[in-house]
Amino acid sequence: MPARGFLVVAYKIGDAVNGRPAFHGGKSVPPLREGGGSRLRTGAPDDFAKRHGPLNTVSRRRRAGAALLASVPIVMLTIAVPFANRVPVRIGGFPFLLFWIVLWVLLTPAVLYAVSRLEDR
Amino acid sequence: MRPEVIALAIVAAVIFATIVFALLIVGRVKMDPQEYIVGSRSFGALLLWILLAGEIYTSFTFLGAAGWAYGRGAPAFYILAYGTVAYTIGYFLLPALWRVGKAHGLLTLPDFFIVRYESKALGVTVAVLQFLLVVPYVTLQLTGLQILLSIAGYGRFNATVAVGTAFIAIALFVFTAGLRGTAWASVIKDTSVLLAVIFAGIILPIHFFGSPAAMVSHVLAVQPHWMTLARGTLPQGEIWYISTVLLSGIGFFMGPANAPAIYSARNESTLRRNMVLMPLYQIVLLLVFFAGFTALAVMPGLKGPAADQSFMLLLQRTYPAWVLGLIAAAGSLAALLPASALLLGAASVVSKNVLGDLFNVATGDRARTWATRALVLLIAFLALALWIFEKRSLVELLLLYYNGITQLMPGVLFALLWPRVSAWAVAAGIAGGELVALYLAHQNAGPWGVNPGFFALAINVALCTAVALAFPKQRPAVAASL
Repeated sequence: MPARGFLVVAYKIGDAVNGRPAFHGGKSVPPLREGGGSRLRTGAPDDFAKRHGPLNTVSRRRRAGAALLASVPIVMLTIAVPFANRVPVRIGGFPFLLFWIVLWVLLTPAVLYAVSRLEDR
Repeated sequence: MRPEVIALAIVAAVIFATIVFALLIVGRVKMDPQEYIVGSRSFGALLLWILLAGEIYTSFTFLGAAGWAYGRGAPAFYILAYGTVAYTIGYFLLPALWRVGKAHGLLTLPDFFIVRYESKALGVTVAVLQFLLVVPYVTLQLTGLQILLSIAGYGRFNATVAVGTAFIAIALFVFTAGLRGTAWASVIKDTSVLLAVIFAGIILPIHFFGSPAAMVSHVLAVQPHWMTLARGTLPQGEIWYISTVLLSGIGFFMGPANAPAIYSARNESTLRRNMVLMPLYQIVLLLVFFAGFTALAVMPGLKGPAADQSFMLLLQRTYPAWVLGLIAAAGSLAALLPASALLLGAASVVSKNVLGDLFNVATGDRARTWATRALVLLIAFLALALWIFEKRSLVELLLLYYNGITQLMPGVLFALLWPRVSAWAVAAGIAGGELVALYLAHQNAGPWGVNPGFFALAINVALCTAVALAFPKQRPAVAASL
């Protein structure tokens, strides 16, 4: 069950990123006509729908994969840190904890680049 | 010439040159709110990178990170991690915020709440919170500036007047040039901070120990556990680290200066590319840690807030006045330019969401630009006055900033992910979260070693979810389409 819950959240993140409506009841909002104007308006519900119609052609599975991949550095920099904290090894003179954090800070651009490639395909 | 004259003259010259450079580049752009506050949504990848870096790397990065490395050791590493977490979240969040901003001509984060939740009251609430929380953040920059200027003055004069002068100069600069001016001035700021940090983080350890690794070994020989976190739920231990990284990473883009920077992007891919590359900039922080550790190894003994001065004092002791002056100048820009962006952000929020939406004043383009300008100066004076009377307990104030500002994030995330959430649900979450944050900030610790703000955030999400389940928003199709 938790795995499924995560997947649903991942789908929704993917939807939000790709300009698609967060899904409600599994249906997506049909594309509405484009309109002009750029002033802030309130109480005009149709504005939202017509501005951000479904643009993407990327499959849901792929978008979920992108969100999952992006969560890797976050996990490595948070939940994994107590484990890195207990490794009594020095790397190039630096304590393992510092090495681990710097490693994942440096890997994050690579991961995010992979995410963007995954989305663009 | 006396050393303090040389050092301070260099600081003044660099600040002056930066302002002139930015004013010349910005030139005479016609100012309306869209240009003044969000740079006409025209910034390309490079200018946006400079603006974001310019807003994010502040005097807290410059002095505070070194101070924590000096005074606390491993807990400082959280500063390296939370920005990276924030950029990973931002990769998904920022393009979505930008799209809504573009479609509705938004200027501020409260605007986003107003269009999504169809509630001006909620927008005004968010605006007031952002305004209140930005004051301690600006005050912090002023204290950073004071440390730099008194060290550059070799402790021979009272820095208060110099801090006030520099701050008013930068406020007048934002008054004139708006967001575009801040972005261009950040070119000089970022370049000089980068050079200063490379000097302090690499040359300094080489000077004393031969290499950064040898310096780290030296620190660990004296204090073997300095770069290891305390176990589990101990104060500033592993649980604290995880919750603080998450809290700060989640709240990262919620300040009043962030939304205008996001809206200023030319398009979505500009934002995405920036979020991909931004973590590389975090390595600057590693060098700042090195500077702090070197100061600890060479001259231990500074206690409490004095730790913030550590590597600047070491530079003052080791190098001639002109080197100190150049590095203090870089640090001063790192205090002044983020402060200028914060002033502009806070002024925009007040002019658009409090004056405009609440009181229906200054709603025309011309009137709004001038109202924002006047507010930039007013808020600058307010922050300066507060700083003069209330110089203590800044660390508490900074914690209060992140604890408080992060409470806005559930409203933003739910806006994009969950149509059922209404203005009342978000308001309930914010109210509960802020109250718990305030109470726990007073206690200065959360339960089980958790960062108090993170605990408050959990309460916030729980309240918001409960209200959303009990009283769903009436027209979910509207909400869904962000």
